[in-house]
Amino acid sequence: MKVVGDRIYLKLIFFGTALAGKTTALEWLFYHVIPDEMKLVKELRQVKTSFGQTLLFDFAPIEISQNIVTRMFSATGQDYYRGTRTKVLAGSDGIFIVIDSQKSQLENNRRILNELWKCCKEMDGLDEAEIVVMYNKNDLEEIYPMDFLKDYLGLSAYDGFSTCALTGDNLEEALVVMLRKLTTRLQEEGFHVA
Amino acid sequence: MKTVAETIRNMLESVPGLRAVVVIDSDGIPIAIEGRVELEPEDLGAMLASAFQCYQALGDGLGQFYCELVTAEFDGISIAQQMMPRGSLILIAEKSSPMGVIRVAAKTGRQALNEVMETTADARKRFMEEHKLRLPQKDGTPGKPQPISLLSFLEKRKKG
Repeated sequence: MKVVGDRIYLKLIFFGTALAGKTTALEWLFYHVIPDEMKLVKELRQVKTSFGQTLLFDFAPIEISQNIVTRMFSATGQDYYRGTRTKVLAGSDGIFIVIDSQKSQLENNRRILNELWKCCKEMDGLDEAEIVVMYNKNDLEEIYPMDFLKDYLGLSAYDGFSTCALTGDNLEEALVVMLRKLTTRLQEEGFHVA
Repeated sequence: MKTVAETIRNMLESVPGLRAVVVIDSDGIPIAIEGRVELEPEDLGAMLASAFQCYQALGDGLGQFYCELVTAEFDGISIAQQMMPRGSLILIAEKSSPMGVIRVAAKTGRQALNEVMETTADARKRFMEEHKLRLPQKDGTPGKPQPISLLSFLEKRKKG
């Protein structure tokens, strides 16, 4: 959290493996859930590779309450860019972990979670970030159920939702839970949130 | 002592060919902007910060301590992004302006801004505390409707 001028800035990250649905989830929330008057930009700002995947991040600043801006980023999942991926995590107040529920992605999920936990240990303040998990691609058939993934990946302690970023299934619910957590934290720190 | 805005306004007026001068913090939050920029300040800050982070990461990989200055030359403008202790100073100039002049202006500007912007952790903390006092109070401005938050909006919508 940062205070600049008369605004509080929060940072919210979508983090997960390549092609897990981070950008799709952010796009769905930006274009279908968040009212236009709360958007500080008209379009998502995307820094993409030449083949269309996220290079550094996708970015959407939202004024979630009077003078409180949440800067939403989806970090790249491409391992090729892991050097900058972890930089995007710095200073995060909230992290949406986007799990690709497909059976073929189980080990990739485990690997990227290890990277996240390592960052949480090494990066100042990151271990205090609020976490909500999206178990994505629930529309596909070859997937593991949410309860299995929670146990196997060690995510039982966090709120989780079985989601489909393509259709928006449960994305709004996940956002509401994250906003509640961030709101509570702001109130605990003495800020007023409408 | 001059403010950040006054300092960069002076730069804009004194360096020929400058279109805009921008100061962002290390995460891309815009602190001050003077001049003409065709991007939302939030967008501009995020992209400049990420570009700088890319170069910093590249420098790390090459065994360098920190990235001091990034320059970019486009078909219509030139950009110089100068690292500062808690952010960066960005000069956006007409293509006709010599890059050498812009680079010198960026370095000189950094020195001027360093005197204006305090750099210690204590100063940062004080800065945040000062601004916390300016945040909206619980009762809001009398007579002015309180805007609804995104959380309230979504919860109300769910209830129908």
